[in-house]
Amino acid sequence: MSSVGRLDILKKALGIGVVTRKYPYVRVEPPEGFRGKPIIDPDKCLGCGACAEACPPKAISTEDSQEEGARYVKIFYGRCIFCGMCADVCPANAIELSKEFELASKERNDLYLVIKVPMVKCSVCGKYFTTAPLLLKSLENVPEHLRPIMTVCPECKSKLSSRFTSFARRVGS
Amino acid sequence: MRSQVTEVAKKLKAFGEVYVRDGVVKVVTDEDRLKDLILYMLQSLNARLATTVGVDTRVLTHNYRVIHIFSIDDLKIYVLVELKVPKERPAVRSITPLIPGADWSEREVRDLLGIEFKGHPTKEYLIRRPKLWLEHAYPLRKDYPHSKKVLVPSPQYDIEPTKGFSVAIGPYHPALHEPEHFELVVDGERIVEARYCGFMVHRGIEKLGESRLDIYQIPFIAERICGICGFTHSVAYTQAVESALGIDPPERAKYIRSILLEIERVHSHLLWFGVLFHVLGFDTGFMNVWRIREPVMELAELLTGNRKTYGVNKVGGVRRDIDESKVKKVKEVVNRVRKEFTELIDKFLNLSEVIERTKGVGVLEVSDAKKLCVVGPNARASSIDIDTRRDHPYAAYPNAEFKVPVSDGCDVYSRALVRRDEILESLSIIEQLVSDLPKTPLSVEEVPFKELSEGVGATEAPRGENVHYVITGRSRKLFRWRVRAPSYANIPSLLYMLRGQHLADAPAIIASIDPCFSCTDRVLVINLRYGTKRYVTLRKLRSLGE
Repeated sequence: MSSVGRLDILKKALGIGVVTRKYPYVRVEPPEGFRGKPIIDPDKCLGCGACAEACPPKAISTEDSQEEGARYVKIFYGRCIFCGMCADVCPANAIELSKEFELASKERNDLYLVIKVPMVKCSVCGKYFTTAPLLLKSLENVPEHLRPIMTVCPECKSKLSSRFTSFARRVGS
Repeated sequence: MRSQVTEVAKKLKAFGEVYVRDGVVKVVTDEDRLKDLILYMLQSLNARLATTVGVDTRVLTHNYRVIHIFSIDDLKIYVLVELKVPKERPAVRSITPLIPGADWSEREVRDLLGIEFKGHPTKEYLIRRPKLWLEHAYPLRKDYPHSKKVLVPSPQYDIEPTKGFSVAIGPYHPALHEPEHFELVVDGERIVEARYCGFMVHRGIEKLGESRLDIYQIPFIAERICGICGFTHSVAYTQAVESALGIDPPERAKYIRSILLEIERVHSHLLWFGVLFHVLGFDTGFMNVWRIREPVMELAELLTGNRKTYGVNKVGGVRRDIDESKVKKVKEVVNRVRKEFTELIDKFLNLSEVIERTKGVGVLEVSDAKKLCVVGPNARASSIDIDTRRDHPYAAYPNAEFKVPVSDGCDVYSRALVRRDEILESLSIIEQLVSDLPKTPLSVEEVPFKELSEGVGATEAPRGENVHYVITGRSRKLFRWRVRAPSYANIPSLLYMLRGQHLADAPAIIASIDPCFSCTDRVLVINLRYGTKRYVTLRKLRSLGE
């Protein structure tokens, strides 16, 4: 039995031939829906930070620069686990998981993707407090008479509203 | 079945307060009644210990808790036996003298939480390395910060000399290239005694899950517990959380989970066959089996977006659908793999050199297997008929027809036969489920959150039963997350299998349980070097069962 088995195995092996692919000399194309390197589209990014919130390994972070008046959204591919949560939560569909998977690099800095999103100044205190695209997007959902107050930062807003309340109380009493 | 469960619950009332919830019976007992309770469960309920969990509940109730999780396969339930442990000088009665399978998990609780087990036969640490660890560093206690290291900054290693001639295998595994260490004491060519020293890979996953991550992020790290059967961990975790929160995921999600779990089983078993043939020196078999495995990996890539770490699971459902074109592809691959596998595997397994190297080698007697609470193909090859898919039905398995292959050879060869049949069963399950995908949403719309609710999730991983236990905490985080991977239950049985065998057979025997050291080491803290302590000896382990 076993000697026949051996011949069969040999015959089979000869029939199959070579199956090893000559990667990396011959490229291998991943299938549709492959979860590779996540890429942020700078034109679509609102800078809202939802991706940074959702990212399980905290590979995405946001940083505000008051001097430059801009928010930086950073992906560090060294931490990325390619789960695609960022793409799932992005309200602007700005993140896409590409088919790129060869990310090895000798330079740590090559593993960062940084997006710069312009910010808006508070009309009261002059501090940068939110990003311009995010403000524009939220304006769509705000009734017209409230729109001017949208350029006021949360701290100034709370100060203003407390002043209004105390004024109203005084008037009321 | 339901009436039987209520009857059992009634009987258990003699031993303490009893709470019943879908599939889980909880008994809150005390030390005096513990022994009688365990004996009752072992003798009349045919209970099998899954694991022991230690919980630091000092912030809630001013005590620790120790929970023994038992599986009662005949009744399809898990029984949790809870003991309260005083805050000052925490100590509780050990159950290892009654169930040798509790040895590791009790010592783990002792090492990581500092709870003493009175009457435990072994004084040796399992995980803690006395000279390498800071004193009084119990990382799973709630007041221990997750970012604090337990290792002494510059430790002194000393390796104790052993009597006789000993052969060290590891810290890199002869078969699977993972760090763990076997010390085999040999007399000529025969192994007299075997020692195991594992827990060298530090990841601290349980602590991380309890401290930094929220319940939605943990599925991704659960998936990374194992590099081969990760998806089963993420399913077990989500099931545990869903059971704690009272969520029932939609049918389609369950089907997709089952399909992916079976794809994972097929690839894992094929990988195992390759490894077995490789350690036997039969590389033709190795190459051919892995060639057959490749389309399975590509199928997983197509369905999930990655060859491994599928990342499609979430609490309350799944994230990715299987559409019609993919269904067609699945059927194609299943047929192809089945054809190629059946064509070759019997020829390989009938080769005289394979038979001689595996038949009668690495025997694990039925009684030893029961005593040590082994799981999966390892148990089924020793004629213990357990399979979580059938005994604790989950996902879409109640809707699929399948057999549970069992063999009574108790040796490496039977383990191969069991896995061969399982691959064919899995292929049939995939075919059944994929042609019958129900049309429901992929996940529940909203996940309600309940504080301090507990849940058990179990899956049948390729290597055996995989148990996750969770207690939910505050603000969408977990209070406690306990993982019991199948290799954790299976590795102690290796010491029984290796005794009296030829040294040359050791790699095949070790490989035969498909050990996964990264699973087993998930909570642990030591890296690189072994040494410093005497390990549990075979004689000691044996004496536990006598």
